[in-house]
Amino acid sequence: MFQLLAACGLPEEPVMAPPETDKATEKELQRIRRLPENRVCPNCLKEESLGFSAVCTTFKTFICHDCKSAHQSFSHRCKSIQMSVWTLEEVKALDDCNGGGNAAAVRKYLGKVTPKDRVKQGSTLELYKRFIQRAYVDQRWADDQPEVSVPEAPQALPAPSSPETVEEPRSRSRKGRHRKRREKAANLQSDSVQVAPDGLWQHDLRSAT
Amino acid sequence: MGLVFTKIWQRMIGKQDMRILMVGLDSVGKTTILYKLKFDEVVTTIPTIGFNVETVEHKNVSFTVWDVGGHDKIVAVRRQHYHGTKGLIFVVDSNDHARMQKAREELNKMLRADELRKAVVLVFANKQDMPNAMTAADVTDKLGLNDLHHQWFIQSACATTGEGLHEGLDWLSRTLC
Repeated sequence: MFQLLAACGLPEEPVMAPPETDKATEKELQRIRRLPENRVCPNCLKEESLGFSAVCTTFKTFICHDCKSAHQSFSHRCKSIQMSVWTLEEVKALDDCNGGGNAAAVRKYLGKVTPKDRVKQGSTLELYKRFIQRAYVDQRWADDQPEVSVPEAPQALPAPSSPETVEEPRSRSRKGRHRKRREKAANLQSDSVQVAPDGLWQHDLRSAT
Repeated sequence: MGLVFTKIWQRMIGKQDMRILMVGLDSVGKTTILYKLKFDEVVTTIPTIGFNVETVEHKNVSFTVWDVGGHDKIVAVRRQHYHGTKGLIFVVDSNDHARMQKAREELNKMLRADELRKAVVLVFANKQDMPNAMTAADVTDKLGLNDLHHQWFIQSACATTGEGLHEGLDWLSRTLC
């Protein structure tokens, strides 16, 4: 068959315009990509103000380059925002209401992770890989609770003790500040504030949706 | 007589240049392989826009390896790299069972190009460090390598440890010199 085609002088692999993602799909992808929760890498908490350029489609997360490399070594499918072609179904699957996006992944796979467990930004690829393996392959921090109904405060965890954790981000204008604080709290690695990240995360979500 | 001697001399001492094209689906480890060969380092990579090119010295052969991006929007303009390519390195993710068929289609599509008619094909069955990785024999089967009209060789490899990479280049230099 191939020989026949060649014999006929037909161009076998014509140079053509690159395939494109259609406009509506692209727009929706960009919208989801720029949601506040999708601008913080769920694994290493790296923040990217303009949104990440890689998506792990296996776990439906928007991730930084380091975590992407780690995911790829486990053959978790990763796609590029810019250079892959997306279908509307693929993009819709990334929406929080369809169980996609970083917040959903955090609820599902990283419910019980403590800041101490997290991979630190700038670590070697080996450390990133180890974290990805524990979180997504072994699923050791996965929440046993079904993720559909998110409680107002995480019930399995002890009541927040630090004043910072009691405060709730009610207004949208203060959300950014709280996100920073949440990261700061995560870096402190103290047990009492560990509950804060996820608690606040969920509040963030609720006010965002 | 002199010519024979020159040839032998060249073979032993002289460096030969060889243009190699490295292709494969996206995120199978092409760039990781390239930089592992070049610097013996595992790099965190970003998707390749266009290509990376490095010269890799292996024994007495100097391979110019063109690592061409595998993302959907890039492969369409890949053909301009075919010209003058003597060897093709086709990288597959042995752990990615779902995309083997797609890899097979890509390989067949590429090898239909006239410029690659005489090229030899080295297949790296990459990511062998994964527990569910397919063996080289399985990959051979899934890619339909036995149906190819090109000279080919499959090498199981692990880009992050470097396992198998030099064995693959050994075959290329043996075959192309």
